[in-house]
Amino acid sequence: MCSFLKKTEHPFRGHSKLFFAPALGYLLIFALFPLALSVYFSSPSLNFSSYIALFEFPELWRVILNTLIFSFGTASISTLLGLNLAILVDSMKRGRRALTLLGYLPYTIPFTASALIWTTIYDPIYGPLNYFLSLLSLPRLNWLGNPSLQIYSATIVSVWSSVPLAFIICLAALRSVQEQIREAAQVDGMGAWHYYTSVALPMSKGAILTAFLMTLIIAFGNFDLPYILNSGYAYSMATLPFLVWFEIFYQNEVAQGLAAGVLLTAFVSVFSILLIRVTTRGGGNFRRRVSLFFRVPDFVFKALVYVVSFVTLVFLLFPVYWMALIATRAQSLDFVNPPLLLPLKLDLSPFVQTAQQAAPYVVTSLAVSLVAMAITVLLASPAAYSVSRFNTKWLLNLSIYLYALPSASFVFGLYFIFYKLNALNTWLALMISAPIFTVPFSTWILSNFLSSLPRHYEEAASVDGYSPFRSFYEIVLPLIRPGLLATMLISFIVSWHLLLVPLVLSQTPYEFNFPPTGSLTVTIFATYFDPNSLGSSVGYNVWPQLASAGVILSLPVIALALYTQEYLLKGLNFATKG
Amino acid sequence: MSLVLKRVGKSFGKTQVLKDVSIEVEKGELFSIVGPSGSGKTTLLRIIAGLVKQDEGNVYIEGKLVDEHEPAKRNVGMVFQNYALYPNKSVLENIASPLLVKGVPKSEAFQEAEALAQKLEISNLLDRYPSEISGGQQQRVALARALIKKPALFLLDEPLSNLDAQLRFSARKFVKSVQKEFGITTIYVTHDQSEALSISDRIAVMNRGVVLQVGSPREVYENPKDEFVASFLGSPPLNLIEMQPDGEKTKPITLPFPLPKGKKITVGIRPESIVLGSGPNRARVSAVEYAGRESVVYLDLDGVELRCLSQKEVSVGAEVCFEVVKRGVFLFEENGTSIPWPQ
Repeated sequence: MCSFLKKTEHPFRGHSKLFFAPALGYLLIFALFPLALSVYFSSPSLNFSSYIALFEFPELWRVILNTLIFSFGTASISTLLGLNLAILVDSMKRGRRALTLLGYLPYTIPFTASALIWTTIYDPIYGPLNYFLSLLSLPRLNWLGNPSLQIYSATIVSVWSSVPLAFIICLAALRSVQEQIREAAQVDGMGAWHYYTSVALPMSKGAILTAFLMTLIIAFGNFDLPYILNSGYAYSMATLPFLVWFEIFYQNEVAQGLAAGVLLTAFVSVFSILLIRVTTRGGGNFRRRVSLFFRVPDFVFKALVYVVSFVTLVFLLFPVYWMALIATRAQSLDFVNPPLLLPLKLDLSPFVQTAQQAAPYVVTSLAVSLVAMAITVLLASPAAYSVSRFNTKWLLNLSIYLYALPSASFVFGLYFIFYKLNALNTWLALMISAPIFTVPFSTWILSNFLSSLPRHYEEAASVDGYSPFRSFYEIVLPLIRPGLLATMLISFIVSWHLLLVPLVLSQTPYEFNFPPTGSLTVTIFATYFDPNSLGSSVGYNVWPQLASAGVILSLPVIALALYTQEYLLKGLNFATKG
Repeated sequence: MSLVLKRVGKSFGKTQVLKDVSIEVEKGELFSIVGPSGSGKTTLLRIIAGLVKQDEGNVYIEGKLVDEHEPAKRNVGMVFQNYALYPNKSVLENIASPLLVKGVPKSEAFQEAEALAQKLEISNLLDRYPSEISGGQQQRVALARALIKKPALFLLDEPLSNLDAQLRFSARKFVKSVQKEFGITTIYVTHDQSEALSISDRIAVMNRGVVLQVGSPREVYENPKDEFVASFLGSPPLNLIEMQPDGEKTKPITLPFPLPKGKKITVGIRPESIVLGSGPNRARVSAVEYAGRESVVYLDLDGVELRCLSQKEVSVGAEVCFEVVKRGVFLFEENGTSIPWPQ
């Protein structure tokens, strides 16, 4: 209730620049400068010939349409499924934790691993999906091969990856409805239908919109899924981020690729401005004139929620199970028809072999992720403090914008910088690049944590004679330890998942030497087991190795996420700030 | 009887929060349940509402056993501590919502809500949203929402605790007048003993999950059944003095009447029963709290602290004489139960 205290009245307001300067400096050099470079090189002579070529390029419209189908399809379906699952979990009296865990499991699995595992699920002959369809007497489909179907197949995988995020955001909003309001609804005689449609969902509409925009933005800028699923590099499955990479780094049409990147940036800018408006508007605006008072009988509503949730959970969990299954059995058990869906004979030899091969890549990924995590906390926590205490709102807006910006928008600029610095194929290049995503995101999350921290502590500290920085490190940081942990975790996860950046900046695996040379990551390693991927060493399907690589890629994150579920969920709860 | 509780018990895990609670409330009565936090009073109210199910015992509302009924089926209206108004609905929609949920046509429900708002003097707020009105106004809206379905029981959970001191005074009177006007049986939960004493027809004092005493405010205040009830009610609180068991000579304080012999006795003296001026006792004034109409005076009587009231100015450090009047003096046995004065 201290809203009458203006934010500028903070005791340490004179030092605000010192708090945000490091993060801002870093982002200017390694995010905004590469973005500017990418825009500049799209038409260095200012004659815009690359843009003309791009718009005359006949496949462009197909690619834009694909991107829209892919992103809006992902956002709308995953928000609906996530919301439905959130309603189920919210209305449960017991077992909420366990179901939450199952619901967000796919979030911990990198896009790279998801895409790889789905290539086996989609396999036209031996894949389980076609088998399930044949059981239902539906036609078997060539999911990834049929040009008119490809983009929808890719969208399904993207939905699978995005439902958990939408679910977590919606669940946090539903759970934040006060207990007394639930009870008032109960005493008033509201059933589940009335409670959700006329109370809980209207109260959560900001969060639902946030879930939609977040999943939309992630899908719009997603390079990883379309890249791996698109085995023939066909335009029929390409989306804008893929086109950017393809033109620049595969076709060597740099200017035209960069022009596509500018187009991508323009699209995402619109969405991210919307996201900024929705998430920083602040709570309290619940006005809604039309009330929805047609009735759906409670049992119908509940049955619907249960059935859809059940299907969603099977959809979310089967691929995880399937990955574990084929990673731990012999190849001969994979290529049979109908597919064997139950574990028969455990065979860990492909897994062990793959793990041994993975070692140099794992070391690189670990080193990069840990250092990126440390850089992130060092830069983001003072920046977040500045956002929440000194009203440097523009920094929050910039953070949300940069978080939303796809790496395809500026990866060329990064390549250019590290090429000039002679730092391609080094750990350093990756360690410096990974925080481009995690610093803005962490600034955003931490500023939410800090905003809910009463400022009396700092006022007391300033009266007691603490310097601004001592007060920050000794008093504020320990109080937001859960937030720090959450951001560390998410930074680790995001850095571990990177695909496009190492694909562009790295060339060879680490050689166990010092100073380290070679910096291919475990994500790149995993793609080698897809026979169609760039640099692949295998000439045919090797599912046990492919799934093993997927498991290796996912396991550290799953373990971390299980161990620190509370923190992770708190961190992802940015849509419903207090 | 509007409400009958028969031997209600409830545990959360290993902690027993209610033990063998039996209460009967008459039609039209304003019945308060008062006790310190953790006494189980709110749990009891939630059991009556059906929000929590008791482990033992039965709840009857208007003679009907309602143990298996959902809250909505119990015909109760409830006002929550923070009012729990739906933030996304206007005041009018909030008030009308119990009727709308029941399936009453919108025009009819809104008409009734408007009429009720008129009575509660909130007609001018109908188009606003809960976040746009004051705490006192929110409370009236919450009262209206609870009253609109003409419930058999009106349940109020600490309804005044979120209001500031000045407003609390007028809101108390308002709640009472609404209750009388509607003639509705009301269960009023509060931790504030002065609120309970001033508003209620009858009160039940609870501590640690047990109902200690039920009666009219005057009965309970003037004839407390035990030490807890006596010390919980009244402000400033009761003075408690352990007496020596030697009977004749009452130490450390001289009382107007002899004590029972051969027992360890604690004497409880209401502050207003200590009359300064003259009398057999002498003490030093250790502190004075000026409070306008009168002051609370702290006396030091050979190391025992006593609280009493004075309308005259008294200075700290002065020696004063006082006497104790019999009205408002209670005797407690070692286990805390009240015993009568020896005849």
